Amino acid sequence: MSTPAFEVFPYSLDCLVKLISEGSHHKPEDEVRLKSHTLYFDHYLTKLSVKALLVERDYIDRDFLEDFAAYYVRCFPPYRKTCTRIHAFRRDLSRDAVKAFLSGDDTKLKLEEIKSAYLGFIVIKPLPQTVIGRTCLTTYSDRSTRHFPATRDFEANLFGIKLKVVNTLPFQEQDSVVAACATSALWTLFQATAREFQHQLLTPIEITRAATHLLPTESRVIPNQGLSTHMMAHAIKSVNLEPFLIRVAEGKVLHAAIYSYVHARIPLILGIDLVEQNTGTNYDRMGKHALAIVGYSLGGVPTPLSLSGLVLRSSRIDKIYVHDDQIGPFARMELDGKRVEVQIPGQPVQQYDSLSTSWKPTHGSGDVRAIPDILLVPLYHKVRLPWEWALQRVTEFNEVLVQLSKIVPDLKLLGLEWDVYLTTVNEVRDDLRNAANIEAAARYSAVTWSMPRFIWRATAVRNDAPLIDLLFDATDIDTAHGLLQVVFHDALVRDLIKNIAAVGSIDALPFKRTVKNILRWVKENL
Amino acid sequence: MKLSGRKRKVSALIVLRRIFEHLRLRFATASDHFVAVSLECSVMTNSDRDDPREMARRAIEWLKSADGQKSIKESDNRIKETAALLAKGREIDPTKLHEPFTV
Repeated sequence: MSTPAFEVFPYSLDCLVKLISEGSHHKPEDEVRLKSHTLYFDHYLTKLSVKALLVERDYIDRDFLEDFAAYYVRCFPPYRKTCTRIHAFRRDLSRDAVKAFLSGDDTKLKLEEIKSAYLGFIVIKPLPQTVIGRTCLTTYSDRSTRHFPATRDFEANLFGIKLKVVNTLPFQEQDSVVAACATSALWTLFQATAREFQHQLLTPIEITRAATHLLPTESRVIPNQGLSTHMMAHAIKSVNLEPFLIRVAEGKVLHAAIYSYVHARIPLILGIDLVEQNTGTNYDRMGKHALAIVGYSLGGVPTPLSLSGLVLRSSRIDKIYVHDDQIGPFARMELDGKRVEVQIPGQPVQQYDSLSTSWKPTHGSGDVRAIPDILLVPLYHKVRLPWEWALQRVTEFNEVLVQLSKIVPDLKLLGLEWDVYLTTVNEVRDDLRNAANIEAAARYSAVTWSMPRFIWRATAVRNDAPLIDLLFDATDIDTAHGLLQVVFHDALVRDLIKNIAAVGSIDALPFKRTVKNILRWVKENL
Repeated sequence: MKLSGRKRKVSALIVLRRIFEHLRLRFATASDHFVAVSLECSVMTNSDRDDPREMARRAIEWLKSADGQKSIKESDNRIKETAALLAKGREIDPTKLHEPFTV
């Protein structure tokens, strides 16, 4: 008797375990049940209110097929080249209703009902251990503080039915053969940047090859034991993007850098040292791990960046959401400010800022935490000016507002919250066109102003409403002033700045060059 | 529902404030004078104190004063301190670049 093309099951953990076990290469159900991914998916699917699973057998997955052709086909055991795809729905389904629908009878089930109930899919690879393949699951609907700028809508086709997984970014587990954790993280990154910057979409084996192509290694590359920062940077270059490396041992740098780029829909690689609790605040190092940051939560209390009192919206980040190939998609890591004491090779024992993780301890009951080390940002080549260039200019302008607040306290220019991020000309124009407090003529001018594709936008926010927008050219050279426009959302503040710019010589004012450029722009254009 | 005298007064002020907020945009465009009602419902008039030109003059005067100069110096120090913090993002340890991510 031939295997049916699909089957439908009501959702339960037991059902999920059975399906993963069947889809793998003889992985026993007991082992599947203990796998961290299974527990994570059960929690995630339950939270998504999944009611039914539809299983598609003999699914051909492009990524696995490439890995299969490069490695598994030449193994002695007969690995299958086809996968199993498990689709998740938020409504009850019956096999009869789906079968009738696929036979042209939609009296029991309508197309719209299938589409609206669709929550995504998990591909199960026919391998012994590392079985979670390409996975697209929608994010939680509760978006009060959660933000997933790097997600997109992805399509899935089920026997000709065009389904859409909204707000997702593909995830997969490393197979530890052609791909390690860094490969999986890069693979997730490229799923987003290929759409954003139109480059070739690489499979895991292609990423590993691209990363190691020009770097002589002392040992073989496949089976892959892991990529270094240097190798990851090479992989990013191979798709004609520019790798930008940031050290994020300092917590405030981590907040600001994540927000600056993820807001621009660019997922980031986060390199961490995983540490496991030994006693109290004393931790042992487990090793280096790479993740893809795809979102953040702005549920924290804003705090000043430094003594300058500059308050950034990014300081509200209290959690980040990552695709951790050893845990699952959109795994939460809390920036809870906890410091851990650990010895990292080559360093004395010292305390480090750390993040919580969903990792289970390998021994004992202590927790496993992450010490952030590096961020690797895949940038389009024209995004030349970095995050700190923009923040430095905002700091200088904010200091002038601090000075003015001493003379005109009623304007409440002290304690503004600055929202600083990379964006595009189209998004800026769309946003300004819909801004509430700009006069028609000023709005028209701002929207039609000639601007480059990539822009650093800094919005000063007062009482939750935008006050001033500073727009800088992200494609310029760093010795230029880079100012494109200043957009005022408050007429009185605009007139105050205009009058300061109009009094005598701007060069004679005791301001930094950035501020003088802003005043010159205001004088010439407003 | 009948409103108390105080509530009627507050309601009237809120309506006035909305009208004046709208007018302020137009007046501020046409001239440097404006009339508005603040969020706290206190009426701000077109006195010199709220004249942007006057505010700017006072700000520049203060910046030139001894207090202003001192404040600018403190401001410069804060800017330097922020720059130093931001520069930490560039402190890459070259020995770590070849260490593989293996977990």
